[in-house]
Amino acid sequence: MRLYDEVHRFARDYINHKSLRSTWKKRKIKEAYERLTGKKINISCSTCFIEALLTIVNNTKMAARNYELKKGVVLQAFGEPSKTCTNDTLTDELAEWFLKNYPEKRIFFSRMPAKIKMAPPKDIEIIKPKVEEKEVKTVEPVAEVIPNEEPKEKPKKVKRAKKTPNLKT
Amino acid sequence: MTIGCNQIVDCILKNCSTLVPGIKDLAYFINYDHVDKDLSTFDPSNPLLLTSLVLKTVSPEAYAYCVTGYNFSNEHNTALVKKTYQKVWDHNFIFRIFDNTPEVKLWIRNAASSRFMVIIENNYSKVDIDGILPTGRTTFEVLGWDQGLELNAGERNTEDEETLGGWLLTAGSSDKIKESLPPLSYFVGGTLATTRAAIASMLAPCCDD
Repeated sequence: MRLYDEVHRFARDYINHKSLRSTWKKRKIKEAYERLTGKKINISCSTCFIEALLTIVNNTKMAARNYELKKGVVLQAFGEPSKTCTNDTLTDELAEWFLKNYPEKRIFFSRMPAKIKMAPPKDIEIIKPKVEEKEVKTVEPVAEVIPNEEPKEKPKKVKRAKKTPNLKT
Repeated sequence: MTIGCNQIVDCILKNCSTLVPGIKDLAYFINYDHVDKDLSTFDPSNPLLLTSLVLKTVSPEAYAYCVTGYNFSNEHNTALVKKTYQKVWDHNFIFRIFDNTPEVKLWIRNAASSRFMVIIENNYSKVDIDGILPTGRTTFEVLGWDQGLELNAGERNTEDEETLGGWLLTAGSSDKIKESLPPLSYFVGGTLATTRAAIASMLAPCCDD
């Protein structure tokens, strides 16, 4: 990876998190700044590193690569050892080849363009499934004859006899 | 019952290769939480052979960090620990840092309060004489896959004749919870070259220095 790309990658974290300002990052910034400007950084001044970092970020461009693999992943294609690659050796062409031929390996990518045209390999012909048209039988409506049922007799209400008030004599 | 589960199903024959003791001075530390166990894979016939170790995509970026010793100053040992009902494994990694800068002390302090896995490289890289199995399956090992290792001891003695005032650190399993398996063999893509390439793709940029 190019030196400037490395600096670009950690620039945001370096500025935002003090705990991530490690020695190796300072070393990379110093190296990149000296290469870019020919000047030296005052190493005892921490803000000088941030200023140098901003100079690098504003004056250099990150190498454009659309695809990136997760760290530790090795992509391999059966019978094609020349296609074996890691994130360090991945190219856009190789990534597209893998996504086209092994779409299931999509999970191993940490970065890829928002929209990818997923096309099947050339040697595979897609046959659309035949949809059998079923004959729809028209069913004539049949008038249902509902037998007249005699209305059931409602249970007679039993009238309760009114309680006669106890008359005290 | 699963066939072959918890039963011996293979022989151990005489090893015609010569064992080489020790591990390399360069070891790789990976934060335990940064390992993507969902995407990492094992050999289907052997749960002790890790065939892919994948790091998560997180911010700040996950890396494998190098720790470099000197003149075989790194050591590793593993031991079976018998519990009441089950047997577990203790993984230990002993290493020395020959420096005492504020950065080294900060590294030690951070390591003391974290959990991590360690990838070690054995000096013993077996060549299969029959040519059936690929070479290099014994080279790399991963310690602390289940729970991760922690820093169990750290000392600096300015009068020490070995370290001459450097740090002696011991990383290992927790006192109570140990690993369920011995250290995992790490072998990616069927060759040692692809295994090294996989490790290289995980390395922090500070390893280049």
